[in-house]
Amino acid sequence: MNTRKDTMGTALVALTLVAMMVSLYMVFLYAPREATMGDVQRIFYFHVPSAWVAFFAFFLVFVFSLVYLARSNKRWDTLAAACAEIGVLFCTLVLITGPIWAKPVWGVWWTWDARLTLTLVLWLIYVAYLMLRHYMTDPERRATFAAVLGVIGFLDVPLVYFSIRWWRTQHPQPVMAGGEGSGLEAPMLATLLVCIATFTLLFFTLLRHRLRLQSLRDEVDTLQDRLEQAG
Amino acid sequence: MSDESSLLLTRNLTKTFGRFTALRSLSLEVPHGESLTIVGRNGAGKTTFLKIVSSIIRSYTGEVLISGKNLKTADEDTRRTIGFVSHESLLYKDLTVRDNLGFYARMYGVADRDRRIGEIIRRVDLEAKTDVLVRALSRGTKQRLSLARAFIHSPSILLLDEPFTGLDERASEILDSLLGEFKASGGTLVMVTHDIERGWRLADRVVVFEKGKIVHQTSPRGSSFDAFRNEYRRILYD
Amino acid sequence: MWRAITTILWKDLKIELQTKEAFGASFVFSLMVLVIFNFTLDLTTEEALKMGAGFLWIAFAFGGVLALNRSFALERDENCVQGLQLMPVDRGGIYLGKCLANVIFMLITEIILLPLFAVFFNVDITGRPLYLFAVLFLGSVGFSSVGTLFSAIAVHTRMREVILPILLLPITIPILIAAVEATAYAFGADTDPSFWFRLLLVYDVIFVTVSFLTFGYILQE
Repeated sequence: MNTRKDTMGTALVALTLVAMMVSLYMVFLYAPREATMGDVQRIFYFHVPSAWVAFFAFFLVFVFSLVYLARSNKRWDTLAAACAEIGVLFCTLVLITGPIWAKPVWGVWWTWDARLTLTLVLWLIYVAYLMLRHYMTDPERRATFAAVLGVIGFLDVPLVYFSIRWWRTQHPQPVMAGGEGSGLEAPMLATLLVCIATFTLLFFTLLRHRLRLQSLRDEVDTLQDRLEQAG
Repeated sequence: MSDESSLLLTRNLTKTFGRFTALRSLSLEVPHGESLTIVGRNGAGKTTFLKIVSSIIRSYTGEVLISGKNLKTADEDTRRTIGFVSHESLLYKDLTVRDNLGFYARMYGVADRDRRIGEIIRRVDLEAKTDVLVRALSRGTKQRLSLARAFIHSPSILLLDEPFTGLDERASEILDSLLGEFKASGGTLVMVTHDIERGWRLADRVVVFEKGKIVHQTSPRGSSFDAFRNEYRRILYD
Repeated sequence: MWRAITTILWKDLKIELQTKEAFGASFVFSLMVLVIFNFTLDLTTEEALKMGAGFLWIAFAFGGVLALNRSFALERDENCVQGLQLMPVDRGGIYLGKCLANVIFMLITEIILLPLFAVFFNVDITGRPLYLFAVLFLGSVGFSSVGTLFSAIAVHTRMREVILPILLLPITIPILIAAVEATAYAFGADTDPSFWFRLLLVYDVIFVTVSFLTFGYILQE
């Protein structure tokens, strides 16, 4: 039974909590009020780091999928699956925080701008990845097929991005003032970077816990098998 | 164990499906020209073994050597020598008898294709149906075509997975005769079957699989069928 | 390898000639999509010219999914997939043969649908015919490249063919965008298509290659 104390995990959680508190302080108290958009702009500090984590997670899915195809070790498949789940989670956050920010600032819920649209497409691709995993029962086949999907999905990302961006220049939407990267003063930049670091820590915490959950599940399965064979 | 004289050699073959281990470090040597029958319960690993040797399953640990060459890196010429008789027909319903055989003949690089197709169609007594769609064939005729498919590229190693299951009398006869011819010409045979009597009759050696390992091995030359059957029952129901 | 490609192509074409399933389903469905667009969107001719390329490719994509599904569904019968797994050929060759067959089926549907589209929506499609053929070809190759691979994946899942569009459509967004823009140009629009044609080419090269390399993983047990 795996009851030994998970010091690394606990340390990670503690570190993440501290980082979160620092971030919250910086987001709400330290960072200055944005001139044109007001306090609503603070969502930006959650929106952008979420996008970064989602992208990072999907990149990891790509890497782990490649390694799985090369090595066929179940561990890489578990990692890929966990990263995909967390990636979709943060992707969803981006898609939720986006409109919440957009409505008061620009008056519309959704703009088909390149970044947001890319996020939506990514969400679709990796939800499809999770669905594929869900609808396959043979664990080895599932791992192989998911790995192939993980590689193809990520290779598609740059193509999706460029096609959407160029499409936008051909079909211009009304110009939205105050884009995300415009006019970042030093304290805002600092807050943003701290938030990105925090979210990254959060990612690793979630990843670790997801992996532990999986290994516990695997243990239960093994015990179940032994029970069936003995009885 | 000399690699050159054995046509098929597996070393420490292990295959797991998730939590289930189908084969445990299985080592088996089949010399050139031997007819081997594999028996055992469902789930003992017999079909998995066959699927690995026929390269249907390509991820496993351990080695499989065909005529001394590693199956994973073997070239087309070596892999072409393997034939597989399945209880599924592997036929395309919307192609004719001739086209089905043509497809397989082409993929296996059979020389003098048209002549060979004609030859095998005659051998399984399907001449009258040469240009009939498989969809329109009766079950028995389909079975005979399936046999033709397996033998069309003149394999030197034949793997059979429950080949007699569900065959009608005519098809059974033809399979028996094809196997007889095959053995007489020095072919190597590995057959998985539940029909232990038939398996015994056709074999030079019989091997029992249980839980992914070989637990018993005997030869019809050296012992009687009854002795084997008792031993087999003992293994299964112990 | 070449032998594998041509043999698979020959087989799939012969089966299709016999059953006409892929063409029938995809043509009828694509046509239906166009008809439904007409009813739901009551367009002026001017609007139709601008949006026509979009309708066309939506119709092609949905029809294409049906044809792709069939590509491996026909291998599922009698476990013919196992027959393919047994063959001593490079599995990439099997992929290319099937992909080529799918491209041909898509092209046939598209070529027949185009004049119908011109008639229904009163659109002049003769602007730049050479470019039009180029788009149809490159677009179909791109769509079929990933589509053939995913069709093989879909056939082995619990949801079977239903999961193919879910997997395929997001991934083919770049090629659909590019195809629509390039088709609009081919109809005579006054835009610069060079980026789109380049994107089509790049997409095709990348995904045919990757699918070719990974197909072996899908075709094994």
